[in-house]
Amino acid sequence: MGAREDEYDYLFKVVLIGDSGVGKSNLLSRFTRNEFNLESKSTIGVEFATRSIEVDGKTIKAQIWDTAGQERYRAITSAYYRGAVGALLVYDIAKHLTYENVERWLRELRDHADQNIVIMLVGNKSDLRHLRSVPTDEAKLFAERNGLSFIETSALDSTNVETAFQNILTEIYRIVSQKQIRDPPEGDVIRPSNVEPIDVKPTVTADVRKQCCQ
Amino acid sequence: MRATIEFEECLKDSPRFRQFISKEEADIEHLEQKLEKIIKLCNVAVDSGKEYVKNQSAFAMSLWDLQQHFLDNKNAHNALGKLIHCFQEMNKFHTILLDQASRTVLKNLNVFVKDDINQVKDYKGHFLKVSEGYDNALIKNAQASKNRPQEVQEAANILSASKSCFQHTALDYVNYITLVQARKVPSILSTLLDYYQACVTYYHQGFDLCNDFDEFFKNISEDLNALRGDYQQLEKVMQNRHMSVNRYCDSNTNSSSHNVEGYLFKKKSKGFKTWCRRWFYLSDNQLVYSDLDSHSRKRSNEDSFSVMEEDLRICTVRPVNEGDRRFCFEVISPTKSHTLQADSADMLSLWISALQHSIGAAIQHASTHHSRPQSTNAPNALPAKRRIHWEEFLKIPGNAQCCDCRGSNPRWASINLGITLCIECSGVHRSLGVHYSKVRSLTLDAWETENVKVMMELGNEVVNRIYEARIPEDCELRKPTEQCEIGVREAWIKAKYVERRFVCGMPKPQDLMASETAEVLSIESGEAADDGGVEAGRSIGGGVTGKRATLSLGGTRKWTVKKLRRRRQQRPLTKTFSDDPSIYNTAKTGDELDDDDDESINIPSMSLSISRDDLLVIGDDLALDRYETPGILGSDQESTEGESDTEMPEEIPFTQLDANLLLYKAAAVHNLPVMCMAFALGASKHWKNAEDRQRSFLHQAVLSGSVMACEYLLLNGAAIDAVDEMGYSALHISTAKGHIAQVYLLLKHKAAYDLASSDGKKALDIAVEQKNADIVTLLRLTRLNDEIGLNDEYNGEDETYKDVMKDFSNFAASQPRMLRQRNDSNTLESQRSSLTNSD
Repeated sequence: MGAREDEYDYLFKVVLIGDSGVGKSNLLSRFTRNEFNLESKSTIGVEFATRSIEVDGKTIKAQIWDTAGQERYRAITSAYYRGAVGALLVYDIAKHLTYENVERWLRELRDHADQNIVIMLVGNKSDLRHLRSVPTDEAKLFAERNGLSFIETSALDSTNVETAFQNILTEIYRIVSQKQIRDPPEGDVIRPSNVEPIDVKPTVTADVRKQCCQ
Repeated sequence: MRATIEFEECLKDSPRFRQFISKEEADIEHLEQKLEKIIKLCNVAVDSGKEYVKNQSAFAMSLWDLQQHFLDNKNAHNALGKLIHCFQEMNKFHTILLDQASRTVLKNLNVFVKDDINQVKDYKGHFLKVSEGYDNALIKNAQASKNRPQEVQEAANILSASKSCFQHTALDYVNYITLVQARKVPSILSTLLDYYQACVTYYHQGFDLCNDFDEFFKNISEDLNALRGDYQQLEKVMQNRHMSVNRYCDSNTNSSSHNVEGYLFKKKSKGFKTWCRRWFYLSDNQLVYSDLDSHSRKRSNEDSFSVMEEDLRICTVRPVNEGDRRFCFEVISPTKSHTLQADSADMLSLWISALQHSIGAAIQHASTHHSRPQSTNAPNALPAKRRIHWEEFLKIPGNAQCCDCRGSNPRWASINLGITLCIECSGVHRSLGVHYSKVRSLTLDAWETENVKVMMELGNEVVNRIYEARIPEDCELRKPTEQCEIGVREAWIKAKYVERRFVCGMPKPQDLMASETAEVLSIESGEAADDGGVEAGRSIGGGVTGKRATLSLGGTRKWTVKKLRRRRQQRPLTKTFSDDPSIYNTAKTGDELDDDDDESINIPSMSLSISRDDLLVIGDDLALDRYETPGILGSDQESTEGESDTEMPEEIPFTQLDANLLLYKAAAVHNLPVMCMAFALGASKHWKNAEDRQRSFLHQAVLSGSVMACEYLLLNGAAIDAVDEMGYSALHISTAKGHIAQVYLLLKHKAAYDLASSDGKKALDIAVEQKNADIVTLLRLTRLNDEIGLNDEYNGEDETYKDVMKDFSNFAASQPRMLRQRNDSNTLESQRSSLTNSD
């Protein structure tokens, strides 16, 4: 495969989680396609979308997993969190119950995701000012206490959607790139193209040469 | 003897008499009070004694529990047992004593008070009444007027009667009083004496008891002294405990042991590439680590061990110097590289040399001797579903010898044929090409669950019954032997699998109709008798089967194939041999089915239909008797479990008997041996059933719900994307049926997921309609992975994708029932409108 127009330096998997109906799918479509659909259906299983952004001159491709909020439409849990480096935990500022359930979602993250996963608490539907039932300060305080970043968005009028994704991806980028400075990248998966042959001998000493297969 | 009163006084009713009476009354009253007090206190004593005994017995019971704790220490167990026995005996004695107390003191005194004293009291009332009557009579007599002689007479009469009555009563009363007074001393004293005797008995019994146990407890106290000595010694040893820290360090670094285990930091290969500390060990040519990290136990509910490298022989180890961290080393296999970090330079070199040593040992081991008792890795054994011990394959009938040359110790397998092979024959199989035989190593390759399932259903014996059914007497080919030349093998194997020369041909329908007895797809041919293994297997296989194979065909007009049946694992405690994937022989189903899971098998009508003379059940003669089966896979994993068996097998007229239809029908009932036979008979891989909506074998297998039937067809080159007249592919159908494991399998075999049916539906559309979250996720994820693959210059699969797919496969394999339940709730209404309404 030759060079493609969508080359990237980093690929990050980010999951969107939160109760059913808080607007995860619309956040995603607003971010990746700049679309909004008032009558969107329940997500079944998972939906994917990608978008690349620039941070520090590097291209970061976000692979966003929009998961089903409704329990009966969710696939096996481990599928969602494997390899995810970021999570947007979304609630609806006009529905207090969705905010109360944030704790539950945090527990699920703790149980299934990488312990270093970057989590952002997102209060969506900020356009519904007159119906607000979760005060901004309360959510902000909660986020601080749990070490989450926090933002309020509106997928409907686009407020902060871009910023939310930008922020979480930048934060992930900072962590990952710092790690890589301290710890130069090594191929975890050795590809056939750049592999030297190995000697398979009973007693090999240091600095063996590698081979890909017999 | 106390003073009594003269009867005269009493007849006179003198003041002395009255005085006497009242004195005695007071005395008795006093006695009664004292006795009542005694009774009350004795009651209290007995009650509290009973309470004491109850608690004492509870205490002894609690010692029983303690004794259970010492099950592993015979001495302690014994001593405790004796002590408990002793305490319980004592308790018993105490109970007896209390019983005696209540019998003697309480009962006797009560009787004395109730009967004797109360009698006196009762009589006192009577006496007073009579005395009053006498007084009245005296008064009336005195008042009687002289002028009324009749009245005087009457009063005198009454007076005389009253007087007489009074005198008798007074005498009686005196009698009672006197008797009570006389009896009280002996009564009370004898009662107390009885109680004293009971006490004596109690202590005596106790003494005897202790005497009996004396010897034993003396021994125990001697033992105790010895134990105390041991303890002091141990204490001394323990005082030196901190020394072991230094010694441990020394021994760690100096140790030449190659059985290294311990904590290493492992670098994650994805996500943040963080380091986590895991317990690693080398076991059985594998590098294994515990999924628990050193601190948290949050994953304890999952399988606790993962295999990092399944075969160290293809790995190499080297220290890593680049990077920030010290003491790192790499384990490199052809496809992967893992970075690990030891705690110190010494540990680093220890790990590296241990790994290198075990790589060396594994290579040598493999070439010298193979067999190793499986029990050696029992304590650290991995969950069976991940780790399949290759030796289990050899337990399938016939598999202990090479399928072609009968050489011993086959170490290779053909996964599409379902047989084991020696290395020489496996080489010939390879040269046939993968469309004939897909060769895998039993020992080196990682095995997929579904491949194992296929192997389990077939095996050398079954396959040779088909592929070596009819070896002509005048066969110009020599049968290969363990030592034969390569040319002999080549010629034989080619003739056997490519030309299929020894397969018993498909009988012509007209022959069947005409002849009275015919050889119907039967292995009951003279040539087969040459083969010792097959013959032996057959005779074990049961006479019934043999008879059925050559059944009189006079009335046979129809044929059928019946469902392949696995037994459910019934005794989870007996680890290995409890499930039986043997092919069900209907002749014996009747009685054997009873103990099966009720929903899984219930074929009362089956045996009925089989016993008919005009019906030939194809594949019955391939049925093996029950054999001890390796416990590689529990039948729980069988994807068809829980399907309904109530429908009768379809019967087809003999005029329509051909290999393709046979395969088609066998696929529908996931009967692998018959499917194998149909392939041997030349079933075409691209055939579709024009009579049945242009469906392919694979459609049938998918509809049957069986994962292994699908896998078998796919391994043998069935067209994965074949569509029926509605344009539905196997993937469409498995999606509509909600069979996650099959969808997974089809996707793994690269089924086209974007195929649209004639009404324009893709598999994903169906999954969304059905609201099956797992299948939607599988399909979308596969598409996503393909998109990444296109963009990825290495064109490799995404690690995350592989992991997630693995989760699905594990989940589908280990909990098919759960998956089904999950989806049943989702898809009830949609299933009704589903496109699969055939069966």
